Amino acid sequence: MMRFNKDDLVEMLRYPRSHGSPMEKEFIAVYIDSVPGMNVDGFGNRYIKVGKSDTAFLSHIDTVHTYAESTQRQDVLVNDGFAFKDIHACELKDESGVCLLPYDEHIRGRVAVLKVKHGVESNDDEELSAFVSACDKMLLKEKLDGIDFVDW
Amino acid sequence: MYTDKSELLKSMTLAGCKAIGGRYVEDGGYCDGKDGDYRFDSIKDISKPHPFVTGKALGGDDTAGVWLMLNLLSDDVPGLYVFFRNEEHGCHGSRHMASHDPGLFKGIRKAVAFDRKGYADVITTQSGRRTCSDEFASELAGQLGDYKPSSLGVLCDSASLTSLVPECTNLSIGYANAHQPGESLDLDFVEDLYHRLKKVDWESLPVAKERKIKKSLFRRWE
Repeated sequence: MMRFNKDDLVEMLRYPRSHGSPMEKEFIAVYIDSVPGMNVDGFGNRYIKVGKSDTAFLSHIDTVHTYAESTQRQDVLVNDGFAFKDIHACELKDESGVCLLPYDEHIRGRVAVLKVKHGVESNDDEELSAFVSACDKMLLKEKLDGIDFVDW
Repeated sequence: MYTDKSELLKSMTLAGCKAIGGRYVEDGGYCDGKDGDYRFDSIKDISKPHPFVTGKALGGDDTAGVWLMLNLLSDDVPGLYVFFRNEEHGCHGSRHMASHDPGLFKGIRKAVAFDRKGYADVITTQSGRRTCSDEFASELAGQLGDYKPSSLGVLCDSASLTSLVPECTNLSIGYANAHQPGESLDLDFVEDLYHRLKKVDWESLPVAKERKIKKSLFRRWE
C-alpha cells in the first residue's frame, strides 16, 4: 500500500465532502476503498483490522461543506506550510469593512491579521486593486505587533 | 491573549488605524484614513461566514485524520482502523456502528480519534463526560511529546464508543478555525505527528479507567 506525502494531503483537501455527496463518493473510491481488504458496514462506515492490537484508530470521512459545494473539487492554497481554502477570490461588496483571517506566518507568530477593504465607488477591478493595496499595508507583521491571535 | 472579544476588536481597530496612518474615531469605531474611512464595524461578524469570503471551510477536519490513518495503515501499524461516515451531523456513523456492530470492538480497549483542533490536546472529557483516564492521557501525551491531557473536548466519534471501549480520546491534528472561513491546516505538523504516532507503543498505554470501574464494582459487592 502506498504512503501518502504532504502533496497527497493537499490533493485530498481538494475534495469537499458533504455526507452522501459526489465528492465524498469519489474520495472514498480513490483513497479508502482502494485499500486492500477494506470492509464496509451497513451504514457505509469503512473499517479494517491490521494484526493483533487492542487499539482502534478513528477518523471521519465527511466534512462540513454543503452538498452544493461538494459537487466539484475546491482550490487549496498552501503558504508557509499551511493549507487554506482559496480565499483570495474575495467577493467584494459595496461596503467597507474588515475581515480577520488567521493567515501565513501570523499563525505561527500567534498574531491576528487584519484584512481591510476600502470602500471605493468604482468598477470591480479598481475596487479589487484598492482592496489588495489595503491588504498589503495591513499584512505587514511589524505593524500588527501587540495583537494576539485568538481562536474562537 | 485577549479573552474578551470586544477588547480584541478595539485593539485591532486601533492597530489598523496605526498601520494605515489614520485616526481612530472612538464614536463609531472606525478609522479616518487619508484615503477615506476604513470602517471596522463589520469585524463584529468575523466569527460567522463573512461576506468578503466566498468559500467556507477547508476540510482539514478531518482530512488530516484520514491521511494519518492511511499512512499508519501503509506502515502496517497494528490496530482496528475505522473511517466513519456522517460525523459532522452528530456522529451518526459511529453511533450506528456502536449499536449495530458492537462485536467489532471486542478486545479493543483504547480508541483514538484524530479529530481535534490545535496542536497539543489529548482529550479526556467530551461534552462534560469523562471518556478516558488521566493516566492513559498522560502516558499517551508523554509518548507523543508536546501534548497534554485536556478536558475541553466537545464531541467526536470516539465518544460514541465509551460503552464498549474503556479509553476513548481525541488527538489534536493541527487544524484551526474548523467549520468556518479561514480554516487552516498545518501540513508540517501533520507530517511530524505521523512520525510521532509511529513511535508510540500503543500496547503499553495503561487502561486505568477500566481498572477503576472494576475496583468500584468490587467495593460495591464487598
